Amino acid sequence: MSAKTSRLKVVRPNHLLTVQDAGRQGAMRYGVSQSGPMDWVRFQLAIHLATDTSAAFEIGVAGAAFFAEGRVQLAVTGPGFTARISGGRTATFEPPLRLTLEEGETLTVTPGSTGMWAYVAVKGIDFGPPVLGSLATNARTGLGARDMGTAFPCPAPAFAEPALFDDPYPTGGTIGVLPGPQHHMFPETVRDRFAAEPFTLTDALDRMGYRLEGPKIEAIRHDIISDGIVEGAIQVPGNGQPIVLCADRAPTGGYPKIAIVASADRPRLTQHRPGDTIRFEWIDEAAARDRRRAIAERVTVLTPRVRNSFTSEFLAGRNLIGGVWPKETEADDALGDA
Amino acid sequence: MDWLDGAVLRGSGEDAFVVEYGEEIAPEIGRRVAALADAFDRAAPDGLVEVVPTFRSLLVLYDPERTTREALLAALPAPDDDPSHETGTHWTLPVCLEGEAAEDIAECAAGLGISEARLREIFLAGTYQVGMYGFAPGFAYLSGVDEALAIPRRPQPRPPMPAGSLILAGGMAALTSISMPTGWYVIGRTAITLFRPEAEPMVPFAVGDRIAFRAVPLDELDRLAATHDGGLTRTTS
Repeated sequence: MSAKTSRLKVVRPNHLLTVQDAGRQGAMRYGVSQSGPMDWVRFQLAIHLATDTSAAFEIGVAGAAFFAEGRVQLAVTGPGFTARISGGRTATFEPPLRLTLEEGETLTVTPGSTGMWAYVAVKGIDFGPPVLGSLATNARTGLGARDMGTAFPCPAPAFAEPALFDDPYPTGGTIGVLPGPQHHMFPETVRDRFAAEPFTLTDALDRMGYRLEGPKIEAIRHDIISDGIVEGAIQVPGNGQPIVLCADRAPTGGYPKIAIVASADRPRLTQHRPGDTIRFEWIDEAAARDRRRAIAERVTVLTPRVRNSFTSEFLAGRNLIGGVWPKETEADDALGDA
Repeated sequence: MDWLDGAVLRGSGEDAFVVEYGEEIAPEIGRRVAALADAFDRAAPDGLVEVVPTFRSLLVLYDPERTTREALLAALPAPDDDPSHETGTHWTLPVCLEGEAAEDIAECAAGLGISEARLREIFLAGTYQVGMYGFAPGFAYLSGVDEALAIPRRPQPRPPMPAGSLILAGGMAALTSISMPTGWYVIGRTAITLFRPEAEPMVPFAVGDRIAFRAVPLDELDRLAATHDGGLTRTTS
């Protein structure tokens, strides 16, 4: 065991790069947003693969790079993103994956043509003290924000085998919604239209909310006396164009909320990009819970990706970084190559 | 009386629901919301995540793997129907309603068709109830604004005002915890810090607390700004 504690340094912080944990609980009543990950499935997956941490870096479409001062084990998740190692070995991989960075190596996470949010979870990383019981950063109010230019200590006594995994989250399909607290303020024909016609994501989106564009969704009134807002609530201001409220939303608000996105389907929505089209589907609470349970289970029973899903890019990378990947995987590779 | 008498249960996704006592701001509605929030706090039923009281409703967040809406409501203690057992603390808070602390008071008075002096007089005669926090940590919305002071929001936001400002619009008042542009009218400033994440509790007022304001001159406000609590006092009755 080396006496020196390994550290991980963000190479060039950007405003879309934050630290998130499961979110802040118990202070919504004081005006404090919950925050937490924009994609809870890929976040939990990263935490599960890295082990020994409850928080991860959340990476937006600006990407991120991390420099290893010492040996660091981490996991990368995020649909459409790529993870590239440089500065020692050189290789590019498609997440989800778990790997160990050696001293002096850099991990660069870059968005591809799809996907909005990626996660890097680091075994044993110390993000400093929690604020109101949480390490999450609120991008809107700055609560929980920390100096991202610091080198975060990552004491970890042992390292698991590096491995690639399959993404456990299903892509495509409609987005399940449940009635929101002002569902009754939208006439039935409007509620039907909400589920029957497509909506397009505009470029007005961030960790607070996503503005949609589509058929005009009219309520009997578009201002209410403010009430509490859960994650995934879809509020409709006077222009009839819905806004999906996300992790950094204010905890209360004064527009009627027609629906709440089922938690299982929130990542599918938030990983969409401006210009993408989505469709909503009314589902009931039991169906929403079943969907969530099924996905939560899939995150915890992962097995490393099988040989036939390796890309030629991966194989080229693996050869360059010989020794990083477990022997049995290499044997499988050889078998499959025959 | 039952907790749900006259209330409507509204859906809010698979792990939350709303108990709605009305669709408007009214003292009786606010009192019931505060009492229900307090009952959930005291019962602390298994699986409850948190509650968010507002002017007219309580949002209840829970873990559906551990409990149900029905079990949560069944865990509540019987309501205390005696209106003399009013929940909430009464406070007096110094406020400066003049000069640079009250940038918009002339404009607001003109909009209401009354004099500045009359605006101050009506405002100071009132008692305000903390209806909810929202928008930002410690940002407190107040009910109890006299109808004569009900001014609509501005069509365009005005430039940012300091934290601790007293703002007025839409039949409500608010104490601001951050500097931000606003569509409300800035009619005064207090020296109170509304959010201290390291303190317990992290905000000075509970939802349901009542606040009376005491007018102070600008130099007094500066002096109070150096104190811990901005001159806030618990009112003895």
